[in-house]
Amino acid sequence: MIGELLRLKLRLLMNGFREPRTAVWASFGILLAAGTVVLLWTGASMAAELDAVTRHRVVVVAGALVSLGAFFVPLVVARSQLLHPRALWLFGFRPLSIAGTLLLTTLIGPALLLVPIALAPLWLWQDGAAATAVLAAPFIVLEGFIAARIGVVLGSVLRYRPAVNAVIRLVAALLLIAGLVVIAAHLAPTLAALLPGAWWRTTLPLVSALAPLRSPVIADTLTALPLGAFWRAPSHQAAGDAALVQQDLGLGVLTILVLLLVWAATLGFQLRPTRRRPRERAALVPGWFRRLPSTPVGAVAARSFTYWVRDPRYRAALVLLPAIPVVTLLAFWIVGIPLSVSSLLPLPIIVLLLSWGTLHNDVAYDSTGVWSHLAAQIRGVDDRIGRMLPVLAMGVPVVLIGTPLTAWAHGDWFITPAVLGVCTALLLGGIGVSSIISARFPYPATRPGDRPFQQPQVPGASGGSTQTGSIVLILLVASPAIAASVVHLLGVPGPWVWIALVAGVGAGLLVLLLGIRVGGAMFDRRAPELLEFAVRH
Amino acid sequence: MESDRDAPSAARKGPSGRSTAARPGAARGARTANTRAPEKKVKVAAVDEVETIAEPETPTKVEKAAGSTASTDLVVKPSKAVKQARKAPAQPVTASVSALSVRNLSKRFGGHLAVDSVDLEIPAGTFYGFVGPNGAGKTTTLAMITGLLRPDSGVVRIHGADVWRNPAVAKRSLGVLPDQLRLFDRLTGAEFLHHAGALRGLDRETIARRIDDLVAGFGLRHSLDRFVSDYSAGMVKKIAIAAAMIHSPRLLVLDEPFESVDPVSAASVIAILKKYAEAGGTVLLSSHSMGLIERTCDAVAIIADGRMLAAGPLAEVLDGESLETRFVELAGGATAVEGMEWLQSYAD
Repeated sequence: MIGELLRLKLRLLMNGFREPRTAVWASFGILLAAGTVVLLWTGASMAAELDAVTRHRVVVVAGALVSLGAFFVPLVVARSQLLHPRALWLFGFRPLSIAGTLLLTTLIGPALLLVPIALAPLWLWQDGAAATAVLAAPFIVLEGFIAARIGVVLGSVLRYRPAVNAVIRLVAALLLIAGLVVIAAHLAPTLAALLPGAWWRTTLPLVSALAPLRSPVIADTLTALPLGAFWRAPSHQAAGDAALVQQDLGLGVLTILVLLLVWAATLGFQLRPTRRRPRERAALVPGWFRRLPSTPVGAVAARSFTYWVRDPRYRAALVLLPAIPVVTLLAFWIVGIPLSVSSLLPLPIIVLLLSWGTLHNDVAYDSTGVWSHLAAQIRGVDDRIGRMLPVLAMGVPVVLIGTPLTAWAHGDWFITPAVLGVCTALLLGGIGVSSIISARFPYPATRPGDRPFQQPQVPGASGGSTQTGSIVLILLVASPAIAASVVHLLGVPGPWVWIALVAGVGAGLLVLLLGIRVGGAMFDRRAPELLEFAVRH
Repeated sequence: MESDRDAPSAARKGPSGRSTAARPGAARGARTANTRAPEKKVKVAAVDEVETIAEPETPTKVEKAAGSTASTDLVVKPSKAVKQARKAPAQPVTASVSALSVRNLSKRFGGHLAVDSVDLEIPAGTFYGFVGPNGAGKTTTLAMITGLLRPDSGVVRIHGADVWRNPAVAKRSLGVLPDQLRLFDRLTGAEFLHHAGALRGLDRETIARRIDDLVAGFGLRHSLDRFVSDYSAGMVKKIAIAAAMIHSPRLLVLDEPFESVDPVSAASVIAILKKYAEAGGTVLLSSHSMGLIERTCDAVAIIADGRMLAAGPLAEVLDGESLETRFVELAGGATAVEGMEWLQSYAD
């Protein structure tokens, strides 16, 4: 039966060659593999010429790299399992025999390459060391097989996660390059010595440039890695250190056991009983609605988030924000105000515009679309919270990132709490005030589908007083924090920055809660009037 | 007798008022009764004026009444809500609750009386048509019925719950398609339907399942990933109707649902609505297409100049004539033919 399965694996592999493109890649891979084997074998025979320390380091690092490659190559290349454990599960195999079969069928396939590679040390070592190398070779192959199995499983999972996959490819490439560079650094002096004297002038700087990589710390760390255990055992045997050899072999076996456990875990995961696939259901929930709960708040918030991303009227506000620091700083620079003062202003202005910008007239931005909120009779509080969530989601990171930047530009870290206080007051206070204003004093806004900067074509108030009034109110909320900050900047001693923080956060939170409650109540009471307003404008 | 689900407002009115707590059981009871005996008791609105506005009742009487109802085939589960209802001065659940009951509804825009004390009574399970000439007040009436436009006076009750005093309960059993109001059309079709479902507080699985059914029924399957703003006018109507149905309301109020909808889609939508009405749901739709109303509706109301001219079962209103003739007759359109003699003497 094992023979049957091995034949099956072989058949599956050969079938891969029937597709021309795969065949080309596979032939390329076989050539590459053959080249690697030849390189390793000749390298191994040549490494005998090296001095003992360098030889030890080069051989062990190269060996560990190969063992690592047994894991990383399938991880990067494999996108499916030729022989999936689930396929065997169907025939009533026990998990343990599935594990054994899979490991054995690994022999038929690219992993076979591990056999000649594991035999490479035999070209290097003599006598007792060669005997140890013979002993180590099957373990190297086994370790590589298990690592490859784990790599294949992870690789086939990674197919659904392209972003993670990209990172892993990068890490694998970096590890490979780093290992090769370390090996090259160790080989450099010997290789340079082999070259004719005329070349020394050019090679010497290169060799000395690589000197830091030859430091014993790096080499010792790398050679001590568990993956190199079976590669360094013969080397230790050659040095005549029997205790170290036993230690190496023990560590190597332990590594194999750990790998086996990991592999058993992945097998268990693959063989777990599955019910229906929840992924498909989840995929049916579109866009932002997937990330937010299926409640009125979630619906309003998801719709708001979508509009912030998709609607040019909202996007215009976002595009303007990054320009603010440039413009303000430039203006202050022209006037001649020092950077330590002018640097304090952009962040509060950004935060103010973010929290006030579209939110204070958000209901009017919906135009008559607000009927759906009214028809579903969602609570005003839910509507208010849903609308403010995107602003909070943008504003909080802006404040958290902008505050240290502002303090840095200002030149004194001690200002940080004050900046945080003022900005929090402006963000939360702005949201709170806007939540009330948008439910109570809507004014004609650019209609959905119109260009963002187009003035609404309606008679009557343009909302100038609403805009001014709401900004004044927000500034009032932040005024205690601003006042405390100014007092601090004037050089008055005292914990003014902390007062600014407490006053700012306190007032901001208070107004935010007030805005939710009062704005919500107003929305509850005035929703039909808001719709009527939207119909008229 | 009339059941009333306006707990908060009624409780404030005191024992003399008509009140029960809002209870799902009440509606369930009413629904079972209606599905079992879909009575087509529709009178011409003018006649049907003086309905008993329930007298003050003592709690003991209520209990007795509730008991007697339970002894008939109405199943009112003794839930927590019902117990609460018994504590408060309450009214029994009766089978004769209208799906929609409109009393004396008026709306004035400036000096113009757009809707003039309209009355309308629609029993559950009816497919009701609403017709009227342009500017007759159809949309205004429907907007006030659905809680989108505040009336100057009048009462609208949906399965006993006052739309304007107790909107949370009333609107739970109401699905709306307004005319000429925007949709959130920067959402894709799938997002739009999900938005509608989530606003009504449905959970994800339910929404996904219902969207699946709705897009199959309305033929929207291949448009789910496109923005609603890119839809044709007919498709916008269809997805808006689908959104109105997603929370499985008892009453659907659809303003011009078939305007610019192609005949094939209209037929499938009508089939869905018919099935819905057969299962006890109620449909009130306005249309300009007399033929469509005549073919599909059980009952019809005709409005002109803000006044309800006739309302009742199709046979009664039509009186042997076609709806078109009857409509023109009632709405007085024939006069327009006189005058304009200059149109008969040509310019050249």
